Amino acid sequence: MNIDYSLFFRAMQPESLLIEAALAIIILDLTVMRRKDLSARLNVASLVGALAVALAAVLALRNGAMGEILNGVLNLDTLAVATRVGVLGLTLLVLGIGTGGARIRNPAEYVVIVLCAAVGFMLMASAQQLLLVFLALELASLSLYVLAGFDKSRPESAEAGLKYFLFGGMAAAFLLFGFSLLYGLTGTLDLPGMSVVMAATGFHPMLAVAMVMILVGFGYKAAAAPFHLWAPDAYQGAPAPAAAFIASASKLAGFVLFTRLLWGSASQGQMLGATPGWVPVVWLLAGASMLVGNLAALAQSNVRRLLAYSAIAHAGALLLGVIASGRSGPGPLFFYLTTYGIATAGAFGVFHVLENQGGAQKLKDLAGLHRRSPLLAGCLMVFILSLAGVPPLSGFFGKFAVFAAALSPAGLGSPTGWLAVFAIAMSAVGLYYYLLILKEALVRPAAAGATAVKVPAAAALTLVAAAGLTLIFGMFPSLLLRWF
Amino acid sequence: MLQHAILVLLLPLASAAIIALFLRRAGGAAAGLATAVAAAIAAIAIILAIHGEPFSASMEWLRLGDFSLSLGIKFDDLAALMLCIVGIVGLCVHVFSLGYMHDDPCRGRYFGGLSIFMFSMIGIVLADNLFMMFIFWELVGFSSYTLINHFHEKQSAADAAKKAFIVNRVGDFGFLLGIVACYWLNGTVNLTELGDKHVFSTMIPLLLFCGAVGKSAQLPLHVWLPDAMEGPTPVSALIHAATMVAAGIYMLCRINVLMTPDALTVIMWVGTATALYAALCAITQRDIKKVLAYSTLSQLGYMVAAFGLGSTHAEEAGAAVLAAGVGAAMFHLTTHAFFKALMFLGSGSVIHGCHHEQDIFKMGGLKAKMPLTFITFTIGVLAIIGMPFLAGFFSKDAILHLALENNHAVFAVLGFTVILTAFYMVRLWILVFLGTPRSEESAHAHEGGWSMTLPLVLLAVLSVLAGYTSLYGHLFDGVWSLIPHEEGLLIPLIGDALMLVGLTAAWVLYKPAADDALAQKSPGLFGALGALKASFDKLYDYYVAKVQQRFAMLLNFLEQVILSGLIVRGGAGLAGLFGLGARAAHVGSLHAYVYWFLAGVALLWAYAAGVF
Repeated sequence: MNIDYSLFFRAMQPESLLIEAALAIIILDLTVMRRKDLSARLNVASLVGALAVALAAVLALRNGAMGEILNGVLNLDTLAVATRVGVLGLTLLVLGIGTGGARIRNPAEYVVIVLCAAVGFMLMASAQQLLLVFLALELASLSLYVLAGFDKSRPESAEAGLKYFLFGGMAAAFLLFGFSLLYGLTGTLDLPGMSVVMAATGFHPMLAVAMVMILVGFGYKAAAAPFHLWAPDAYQGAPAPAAAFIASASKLAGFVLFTRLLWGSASQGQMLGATPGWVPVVWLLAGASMLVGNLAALAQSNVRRLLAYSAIAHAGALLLGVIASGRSGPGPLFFYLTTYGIATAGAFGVFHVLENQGGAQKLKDLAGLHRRSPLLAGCLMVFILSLAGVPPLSGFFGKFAVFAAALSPAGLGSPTGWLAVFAIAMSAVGLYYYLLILKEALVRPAAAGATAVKVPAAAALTLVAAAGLTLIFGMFPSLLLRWF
Repeated sequence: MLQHAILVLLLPLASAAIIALFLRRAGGAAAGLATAVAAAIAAIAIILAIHGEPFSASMEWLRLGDFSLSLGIKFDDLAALMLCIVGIVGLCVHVFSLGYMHDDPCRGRYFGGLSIFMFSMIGIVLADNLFMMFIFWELVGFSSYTLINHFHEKQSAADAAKKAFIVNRVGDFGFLLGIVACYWLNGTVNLTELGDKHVFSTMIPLLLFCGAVGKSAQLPLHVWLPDAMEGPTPVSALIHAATMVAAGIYMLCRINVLMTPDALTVIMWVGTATALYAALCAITQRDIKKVLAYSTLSQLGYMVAAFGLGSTHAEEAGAAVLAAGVGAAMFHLTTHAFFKALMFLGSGSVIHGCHHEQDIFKMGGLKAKMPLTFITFTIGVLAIIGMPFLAGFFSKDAILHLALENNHAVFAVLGFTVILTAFYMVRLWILVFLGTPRSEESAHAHEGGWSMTLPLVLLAVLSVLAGYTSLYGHLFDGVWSLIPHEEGLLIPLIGDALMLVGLTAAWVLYKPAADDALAQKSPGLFGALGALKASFDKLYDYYVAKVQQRFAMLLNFLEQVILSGLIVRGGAGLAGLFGLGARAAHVGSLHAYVYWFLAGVALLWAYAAGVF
């Protein structure tokens, strides 16, 4: 086994850069910024972090698709590069909306942990060996647990962090169990090697057990029903930027990893996805998620919980995209993930700004937003309509591409096609609760005594950029789709 | 050059966006911006035309599997000519509007609408494929709607805007079907690619023609155009006379390669019928703008007929003669754009001068009060009736020549229409400008400011010169070379004789008139013409009230009971219940969650194992 370390180091440039930036931020915070006030420390840390993230994205783009690294432990194909850039972009978004709120007590650590999570996501995007898959997943997950509980001034935040952590621990146990069963069955940790062995030995009943355990683990990560129960509590309690991160970048990396695990990369042919039995299980997860997510969202009065249930519903549609990407390639799924991530992170960003100025937990706290801050109201409208899938916003094309990919192989001749029809019907239900948010924000008059909202410059810039991207990707979907 | 084309497309969009975002209340600034942009468009259009080299470029907009849509620009002599017409007439109308709309409280909205119209119209002109054309086609419909609706507090204006939009939608539905059929059969909607290779089918051009029937107001979808005169008069000049309504003819010329002899025959007869019908309707009108509107309809009919006339020959000689239709249609479109815009702006000047009096029987004697308007309007009238050596003379002769060569029946109808055209235009001219003032308003008429007279003069010059194709140098050679040229003096002589008949008849009837002389001397004929004009509206009203409305009531009943009652409300109730249930299951206790989780795992295992 000879390993080309120079290639490896070059491939890992973006990840290394983020780790170095994280260390630099800690050092900076402990030395120069020590006596400064909290918001200055947060701004400096965010700025350094954002610069590092932007640079890392440039490096990732410049390196391009390098193919297999370290004898196939990592596979930097087009999907991996796209996902890395997507994750970095969403990280930038999260850092951007996080500025301006001085409520976090340890701002430097917050940025550092965001960067660590980003490194985990990026590894998830390219990992092709079960050991690295698990390590990357846990690096990301542990960072997210901490982020969810980061706001020490609010008990809900601690509750969110703890629930997320305990639930996540159990899911991780299932996932690890599933992985070890796979290892036991095939004798290898490499995904391509595993499919070779499985093709040779044929189906084993134990494989079904392992598959379900892995699906449970990913179902938890994706917040798919019936493993979604942590999501509403975590989304509600976590600081808004953390919730945005959990909903956007984590979903993107998780689903890409899941797709790679099941379908492999384009060059290697089918992998686990070829085993019988798993597609029906994913149907079940997808259908249940869309049903539970959309219907339970109808009864919510808390915006964060509403977005959590909307995330569950979207997870169902995304699982449909996972099934479809076996045939049509990961393009539609990636488009959906990216645009959904931008829109949902943007919506959390709007809520974050509002919360910093007196709380926006209930739907009716949004009343009169169009008068209090036309900018926020406008951005929120773009994000929510995109989530609802209204053309010409990008959410529409994400849904359209995924449903078209699900319907194109066999039309209504397969359950996948019927599931797509179900998803379309459920999107109509979704429109109702999305419009509830907009009704509060755009139609209702402001409550007496409501004041104008001051939007910090960095957050405003980020939100406008996110809304602009949502619009641009909607009008020119080929910008993203042509990567694949 | 590509940058110029993109600039000319995006400038008016930027202007509209800026006006919509910042200048809604600053009418003066909005007017200045829109007019400056219109001037820039005219300048760039001329620069592009002088450079003259055809080019095309496109970018992919959306790809889904094998299906892709692109946005692109196809610039050739045809596009250059249309772009120049839009630019020049657009500039004249903007300048005229500065004076005409000066006291309007909603000037910002008005000029924003003009900008968005310029954007949409230029989009149609430059589009390199039918999908893109359709997008801008609809945008043009939208801007037309907003501009007709400018005086939206007036019920008739609101109704007219709605009518225009809905009637156009009927035609656009056919257009869209045509685009889909074209894509289905040919695998592309790109105009250049279609030119290289396409399937012969009569269905596609006829479906696409539906779009032109709507937008260019041909029978039987012409009903919206007379009503559209509710909009401000400059809008009528720009949109409902010179450019937008001509978009249908332009579109036909763009897709001329798709035509088949059968389709062209249909197009020819639709155009001919419209030309005659509208001319008959124009005779009885009392509203100065309505007369001009019906005359527009009639002239559009000429253009459509000219396009179709290329056809009958195509059976024998192939594509070369087909192009003759394009040449004649575009030639008449060009001259008509100038003299009709001139007359509409002239009528705007008259209406403005007479304090918004539009009834021609309450005018009269304006020759002395508004000399400049009188002279320029007279040039417009002479141009449209085909007075020798003015623009309309040449283009109309080209059409009559085509008709005489190809189809004598069409020639007879179009020839008769020449008489009618001369009759109703001279009638209008006599009633408005000659004689003595017949009302208080017209007695105190006055000329508008420079911003209203300058465009009139420019357009009058163009109405004289636009017919001499040699004056353009080598500009637009690609179009002009297609114009059929006759030998000898037969056609001009016939045309002039017919025109003189109409002119004399009008002179004799209306010279001494204070009221409608035709109505007095021949009430039967007058009544018949009026009924003819009303017949379509009556027919549509009957259809809507008796057929469609009843069907809609039936559907409404079913909807209320089954869809709304049972499915929606029932479904919503069920969904709501389920939502409450799901929320109730969410107790917040971690123990409960773990049980749910494990239950889910057990369920999945059971499912994977095939238990159910």
